[in-house]
Amino acid sequence: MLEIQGLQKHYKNFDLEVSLEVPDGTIIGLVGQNGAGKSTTFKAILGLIRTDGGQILADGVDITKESAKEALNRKQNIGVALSDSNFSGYITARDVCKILRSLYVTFDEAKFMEDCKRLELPMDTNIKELSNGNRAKLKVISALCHGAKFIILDEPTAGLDVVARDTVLQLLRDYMEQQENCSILISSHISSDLEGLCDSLYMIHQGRIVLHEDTDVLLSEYAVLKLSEDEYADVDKSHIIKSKKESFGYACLTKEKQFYSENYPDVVIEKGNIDDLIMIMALGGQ
Amino acid sequence: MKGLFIKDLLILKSRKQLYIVVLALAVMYAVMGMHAFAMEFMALLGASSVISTLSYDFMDNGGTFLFALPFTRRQYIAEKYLISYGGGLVGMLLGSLVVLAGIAMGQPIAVDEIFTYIVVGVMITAFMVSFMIPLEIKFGAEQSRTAMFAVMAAVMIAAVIIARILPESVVARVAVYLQSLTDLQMGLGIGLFAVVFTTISVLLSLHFIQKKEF
Repeated sequence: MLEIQGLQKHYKNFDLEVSLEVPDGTIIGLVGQNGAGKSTTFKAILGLIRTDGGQILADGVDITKESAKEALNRKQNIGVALSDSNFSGYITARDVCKILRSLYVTFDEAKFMEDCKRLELPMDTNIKELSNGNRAKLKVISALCHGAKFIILDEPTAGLDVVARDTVLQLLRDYMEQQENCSILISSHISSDLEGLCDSLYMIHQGRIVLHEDTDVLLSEYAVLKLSEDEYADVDKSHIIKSKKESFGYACLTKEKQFYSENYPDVVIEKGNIDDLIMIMALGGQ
Repeated sequence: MKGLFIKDLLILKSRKQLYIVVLALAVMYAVMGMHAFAMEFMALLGASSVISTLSYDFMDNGGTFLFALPFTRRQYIAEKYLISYGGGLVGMLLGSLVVLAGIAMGQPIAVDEIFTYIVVGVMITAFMVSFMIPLEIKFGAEQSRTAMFAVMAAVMIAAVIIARILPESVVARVAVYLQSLTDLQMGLGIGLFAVVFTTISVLLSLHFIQKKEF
């Protein structure tokens, strides 16, 4: 289990302060705008940046204080795919296989080759000449080929077409079925990917976690009220989490869909989704 | 660490056309009787092309992913120095073969000259590796070149200033002393200098990589 407790990282124009949990056997989504702090959080977990406070506990051990050797052993059990970073563009998928085979003690070469074949990845083309989609596939395959107990995926489906996206998501689902107690922390801008995959979602905004909810609850109980100026003035705002000014009046996020549908039958109520959540939480007022 | 060696060798393999051109040039120099140039050229190319894998590692934000893989930062530095010196050594060996080819094709060379070429080759490799690795880690591929020129200019200016400040008699005595050294003594001195230089460089590189954030 991964627990992040009050993790802090301060930059000149940005402060991160997050707490989150990734229990064993779960897929947790991290959503938010560009620059919200998702990648910084991932980097902190991977030991790529120094932290300024808080703890990152991997199975109870604070990784911000671990030795290089402990970090080395821990990394053997982590699979990583990052959105804006990959192996050098001057090597091929076949070369990646050779490198990973030498780096990971439990590297499964047969699985790597099989996944590459299944996803129709060119094995002897330089990475820089691959399409965005194929590059994304290679990253995910690389992250899943050594039986890691913890997977970090930053925008793994970015740049993929619908079919390739579905194939990658299926790879993740298959992996979760095969690997007992494995957990995944994933970020994506494609909300439908997360809705169909994650057990729960954290929303990060300006370096702070502003919402944590089970995906089922989010989709079934959250809603967006579309209110005119007059309706907004009259409505009971005690269950409204955030409001955003729109051309028609206000879009209001609530967790009490039932309350508003029963008490305000004339109000337009739309089922909640992650895109609405991000828009209203990021851009709305109190 | 084996994975890091394999990664660098695979990156170097992708530049094989460049090496063929350089080897052809070296053969041409040797055949023309420019043995020293052929040999030092190969040593320089061997070390510098391996050092350039640092740029490939950090190109397009690649360091972020690379350093998430299972190796320690200390192992990364150790691998870079070992493979860079290895590159210089392979370059010199190839250079020696080129020189032998030149001799076979009618360009004779004295044995003590070969010794001098080897010593100079070691010196070039040590300078390249010791300067470039910490600078690349600290400043990145682009800025490190500027930093390299700045460091070399600073060293030369310091040497000129020291030579001017010191009394002529001292400078002359140093020059006479250096000339009195045998080839073996000179070789050992340069070897010792390379070891000290490399040790300082390794410590600096370790310091920079430990501080580096991705």
